[in-house]
Amino acid sequence: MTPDTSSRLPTGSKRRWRTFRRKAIDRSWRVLIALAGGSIILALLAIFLYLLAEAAPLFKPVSAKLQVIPSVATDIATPAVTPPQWQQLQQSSGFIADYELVDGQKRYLILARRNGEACLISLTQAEKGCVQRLSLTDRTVELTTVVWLAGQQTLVSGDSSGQLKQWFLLPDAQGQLRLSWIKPFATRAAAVVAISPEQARSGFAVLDARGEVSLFYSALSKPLWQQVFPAFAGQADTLQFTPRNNGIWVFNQQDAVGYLAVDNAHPEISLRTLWQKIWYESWVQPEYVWQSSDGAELQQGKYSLVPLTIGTFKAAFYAILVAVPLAVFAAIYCVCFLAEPWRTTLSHLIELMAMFPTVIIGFLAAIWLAPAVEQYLLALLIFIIITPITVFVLAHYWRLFPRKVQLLAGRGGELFVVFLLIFACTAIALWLGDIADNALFADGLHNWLELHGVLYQQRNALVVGLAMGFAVMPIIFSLSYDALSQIPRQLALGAYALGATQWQIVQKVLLPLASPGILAAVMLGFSRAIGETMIILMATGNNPISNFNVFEGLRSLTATLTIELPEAAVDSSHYRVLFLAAILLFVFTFLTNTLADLVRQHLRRNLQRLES
Amino acid sequence: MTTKTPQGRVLLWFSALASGIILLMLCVVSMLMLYRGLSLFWPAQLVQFQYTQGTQTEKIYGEVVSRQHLTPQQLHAAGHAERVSGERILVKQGYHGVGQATFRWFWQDTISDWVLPPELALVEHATLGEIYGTVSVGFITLANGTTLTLSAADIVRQLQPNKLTTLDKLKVFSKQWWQFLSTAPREANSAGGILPALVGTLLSVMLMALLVTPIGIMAGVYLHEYARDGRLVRLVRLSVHNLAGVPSVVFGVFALVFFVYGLGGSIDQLFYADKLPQPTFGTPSLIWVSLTLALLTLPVVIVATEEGLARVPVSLRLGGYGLGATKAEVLYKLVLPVARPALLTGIILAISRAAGEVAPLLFVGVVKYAPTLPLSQQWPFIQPEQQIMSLGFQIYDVGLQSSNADAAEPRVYAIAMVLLFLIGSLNLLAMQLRRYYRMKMTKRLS
Repeated sequence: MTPDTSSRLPTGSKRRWRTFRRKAIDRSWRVLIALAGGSIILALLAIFLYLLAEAAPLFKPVSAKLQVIPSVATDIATPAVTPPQWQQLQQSSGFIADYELVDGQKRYLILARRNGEACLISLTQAEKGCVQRLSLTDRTVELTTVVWLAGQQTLVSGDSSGQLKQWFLLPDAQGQLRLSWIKPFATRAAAVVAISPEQARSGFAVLDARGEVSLFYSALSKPLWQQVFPAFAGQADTLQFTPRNNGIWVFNQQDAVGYLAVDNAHPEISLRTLWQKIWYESWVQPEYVWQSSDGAELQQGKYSLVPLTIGTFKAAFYAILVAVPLAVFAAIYCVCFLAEPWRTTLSHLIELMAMFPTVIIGFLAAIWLAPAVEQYLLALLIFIIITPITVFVLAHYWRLFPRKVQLLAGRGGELFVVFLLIFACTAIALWLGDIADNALFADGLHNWLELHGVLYQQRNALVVGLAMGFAVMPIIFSLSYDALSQIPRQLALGAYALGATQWQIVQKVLLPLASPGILAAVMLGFSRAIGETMIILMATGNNPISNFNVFEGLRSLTATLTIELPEAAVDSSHYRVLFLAAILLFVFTFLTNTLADLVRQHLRRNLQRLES
Repeated sequence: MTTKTPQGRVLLWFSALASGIILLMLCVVSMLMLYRGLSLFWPAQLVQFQYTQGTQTEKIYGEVVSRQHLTPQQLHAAGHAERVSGERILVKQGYHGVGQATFRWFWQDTISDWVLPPELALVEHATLGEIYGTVSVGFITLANGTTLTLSAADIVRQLQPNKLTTLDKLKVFSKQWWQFLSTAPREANSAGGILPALVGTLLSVMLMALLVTPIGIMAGVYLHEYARDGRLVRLVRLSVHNLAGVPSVVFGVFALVFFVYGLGGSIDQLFYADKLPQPTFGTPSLIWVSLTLALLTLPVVIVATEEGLARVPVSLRLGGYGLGATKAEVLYKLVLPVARPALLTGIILAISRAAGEVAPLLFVGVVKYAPTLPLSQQWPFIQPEQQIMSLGFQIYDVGLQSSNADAAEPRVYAIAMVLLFLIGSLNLLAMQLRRYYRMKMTKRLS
């Protein structure tokens, strides 16, 4: 072949150079994109690891190491030996004691003897003598020590058999405070020698006769850490925490004989305190409590994630309860009963709802919906009951209507009828609600509910359910709509040709094929509701309670994060627990979404197989 | 298709009912927003009436804000068991004496001599707020007979709404809206305009778009074009898609620690060490808001990019390769231009999502009140280390935390309308773009 002289392509080295340049550009783009894109994606995925790293120190095991005694003993505070101050009272009440303790508000005196006998004296009514007599031990063993924990609300006693017991001052049936046995701590192997409370925290350290030092937290029975130091056996009699609780001094007759460096940053957090009922100081019974800052002088953070998790699921559950029937039925209506162009118009309109920012929905829910629901609660309930019944009746007797009216159905005209019906039902519900309110509930429905043990709060789960239902409806609708409309048309037409009725087509062909897709839609809606923040923040009272009452508020994980994170001290237990809450949200929504995604992929593959 | 069996009819009617309820909900919410939002600036009629309490009567000037009907139970619960009629109206009286409440409820049966005097005027005073009364030159006489001196400098605006024609009212209405959009708030966000919030939202969102566009598209192109389609890549793709569903507040938590405390703290130590302990970047600010929003919308943009690329016909690529083009050339000269509308739509949708976001921004730089706009006169014209106000946060804050709830509430509807308008127009733009490009593309490809 002769070279084509008219070609504008360069030849020889010029051509080789150009090819080389093009290849180089191609290769460098490939490297650049791979590097940039890959690192962006890795960074995105690393968010989770970062959150984990922030929360991980919560679960770091407690450790303590014996160190040489620091020569500069700046924060050494020799344990004060309190001289007996209440000898007069001891004599007047006839109870000569070895230990005497006064509570934080200086209202009660507790006297205890070595044999375990104890006596509670009310200082305001000292002339009465002992208001309560009890035994702090099993009588056969000797009481070796009894101390207040920081805050003077909890008493811990230790005896010669190694038992440790926790006591609170709790009111009895008459409202009289009494020293009550709460729980035992894990028994030590030898007699308890000394107990030392932590500074400004409800932990304590125990020294026993074998020289074992162990660290406890008042809410947990098991020790956080324990180790035997033979050097202390019989050679030490007192323990003392440093002001920051990062060290323990061991004393023998006022002489420092040892120093333990302690790493115990978050004693109040463990799987038990996060997820189980805990009996907190001066509470009447064990409970799930989320109370990140309390009024008491002593900050004993109560970080149970149970009320928050329950609140989150409660809100999501009611939202789904509102959204799923409406959205799925609307999708069925669009796909099965509406023809173009109405189908597209309606689906676009419903998808338009996704445009509403949740902060606006939350505002409307709090300012407009919550008072309206409170005022027309009975009417709302009546509406929910009578509307489906009316529709059911209408569907059954539709054939009795004149033929011209009947033709309305099946061509979009039923929407018009339904609007009329909804207006009629609303009017009836308002009227009936008014009558019922006057006739049945003389003091109003809310008082009646309260009398029957159901608390009614204005910003409650019902309001949140309605508002958040509105927010998650579009996502459930559009995914269900996709699932239904993806089904190959020839399947429905084939069934129709074989003489199936509309109902049979929907029941036997469309729904079974689309059900995984609809399930995925519901799951995605649920996960969206779990992660929703502003609506819950604005439309609930944000009180952390653990029940499923529709008429009470709730506090969700997301709202807690929003309220408390800006105020939490960096690296405190509170701060890290909030990270834990964020991780919980992340993991839950991520798993739900992944599952829903897998279901949808499976569905798509199935449908492709059907189509081919 | 028609419905012939009873079950089919029940299904039809129930599904129609569901659609009807959804449509009505949408309708009610939109109408409510429109009505409340628009009526804020529509000059209301001023009323005059006599209020009788016991033996005393009092002349009242004002504007009726809302009416309420209380049922006997509610009256009982509110401690007004002796009342026969539960009708009452909320009247905005404006300033009428130091320490007097601006808003007041009146029982309908204590009111008489209801008139709409045309000479009654509304004066917006620079320091006292709104005053209702009869105006003569330099003076205004209030309902209780006291006379206030008015200097021209104090009068923000003055009108006699009962005399206005509809056209005049329309003029006042549009002027009010313009003022609302173009001035700064006064009196703890319960009066004045929303300019700083509007600027804050727009600025943070624009900065976010600048950040997220290159990053998101690059990641999307990598995932779809360059990454080998193995099990690992599929897993990564699934995770990236699902990150879009992770609650935004989680991203906010991450942003607070990583951006504000981590990144911002390090920048301060490196470049602004002389100013420490006063933080410059190590504190919530505009740049972190934009970065957080970018992070939040990154999965959205990646997914949109991937979907856009996937929709480009294979024949186009094959044609390119057939002519000897390299992969980069095919990508930049053929695939990306064809996929451009999809990418654009993805970014617009990301922006519209970001504009309505509030929860994660509470941590990273959106505040109740920022005294100055985050703008400057020198390059780069914005101050990324300043805190900003945003429309979404204003809705939350003014709506629920305001000390003057009666005055603040109608404003929130107006703010919400502005936000909704912003997001709505963005969505509409995306929709139109998609349609336009799709039409153009089908024409070109066929």
